[in-house]
Amino acid sequence: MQSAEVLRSKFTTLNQELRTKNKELSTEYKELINKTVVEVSPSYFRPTEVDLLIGNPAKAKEKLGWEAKTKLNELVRLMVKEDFQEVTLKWYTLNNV
Amino acid sequence: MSKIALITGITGQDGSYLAELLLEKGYEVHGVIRRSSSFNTGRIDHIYNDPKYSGSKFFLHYGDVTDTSNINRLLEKIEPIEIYNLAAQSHVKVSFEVPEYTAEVDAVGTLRFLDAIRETGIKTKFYQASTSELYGKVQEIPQSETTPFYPRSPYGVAKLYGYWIVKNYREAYNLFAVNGILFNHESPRRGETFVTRKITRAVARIVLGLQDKLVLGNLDAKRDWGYAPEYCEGMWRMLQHDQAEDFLLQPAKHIQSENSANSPSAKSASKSTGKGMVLTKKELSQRCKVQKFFVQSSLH
Repeated sequence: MQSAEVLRSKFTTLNQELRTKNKELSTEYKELINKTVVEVSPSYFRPTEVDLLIGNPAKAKEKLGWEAKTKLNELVRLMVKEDFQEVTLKWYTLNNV
Repeated sequence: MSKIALITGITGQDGSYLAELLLEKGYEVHGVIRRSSSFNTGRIDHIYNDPKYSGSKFFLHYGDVTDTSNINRLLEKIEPIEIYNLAAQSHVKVSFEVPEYTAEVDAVGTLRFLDAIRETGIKTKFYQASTSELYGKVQEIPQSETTPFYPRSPYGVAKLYGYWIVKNYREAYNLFAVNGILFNHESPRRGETFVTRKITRAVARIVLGLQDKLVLGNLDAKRDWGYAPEYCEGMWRMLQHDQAEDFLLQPAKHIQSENSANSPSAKSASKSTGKGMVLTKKELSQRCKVQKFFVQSSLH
């Protein structure tokens, strides 16, 4: 098998494991619940900030027939799913599993 | 006339989606890439390696929007009927560190392309990647194509020049040149230093136990986020429109997309002490359903 195929099959296995372990992981998550996971650092603040951006796309809809379709929730799901797969594959590669 | 498109910034999020879209529509696609000692073509390798496109429909050229003669040569050689100028130093925070470079690429780079179109005399349409950052300290809510600009970063100021030079050359020389004023648009191909991707990546890493915490900046910022491939479709439509006009793209209904970690205490603590603050998972799960959704969705 090509290395990519190996990784893919490993990921499939892991994905199945994760499905079955879903309940256990949820418990783990609850145990970790008091750990700090989000921190704010002023090092990321900008000298001048842009606080609010909301546009009205009416012209694009009227003249181009363009409309955004994907909702925020779907977008988040898509990105997290993809990141979860990438991070998992990287971890497997680094650890030679 | 054969459908030939030139994309600058093709190695970026939008460039890669736009290349896919145009190839599907039957275009011959040429992309400009900068020389780098590390790999920078990860987002387009799958296209380049696709026998359906490689060598016949998809071409990459070394170049840089800071190099005038390079741009002229590329236009003469390729003769594109559509040019999408997506090349930029696109990071707002970084633009405070490299303001001159940001101006050189984002502002003067746009001018170089417009001048190259005039000088070579090729018949083409020009799309400029303008940005909602032009509105900065917003002068009205919601913003529209007629809202006055008030950029708040060297990035925004450089893009303001890009916007106006496009408009000026359109009016002065009758070029088909348009600005797409795009609000935040994201995808799994978003750079990892941008907040949405930084969050989704951190969620995956925290759940897998590879990272302890996520460190963020200003939590007061509010944005609407859309899906990048749809915005690329919008860019293309702007160039198919019968008139050269500027358009704003963002989701129609305002979705409350306040930063998922936002909270009144976070704001007050970060402001009053200037040292930032921490949130625990418990606080997060109480205040932020999105975080729970992140974790749950990544497990299903």
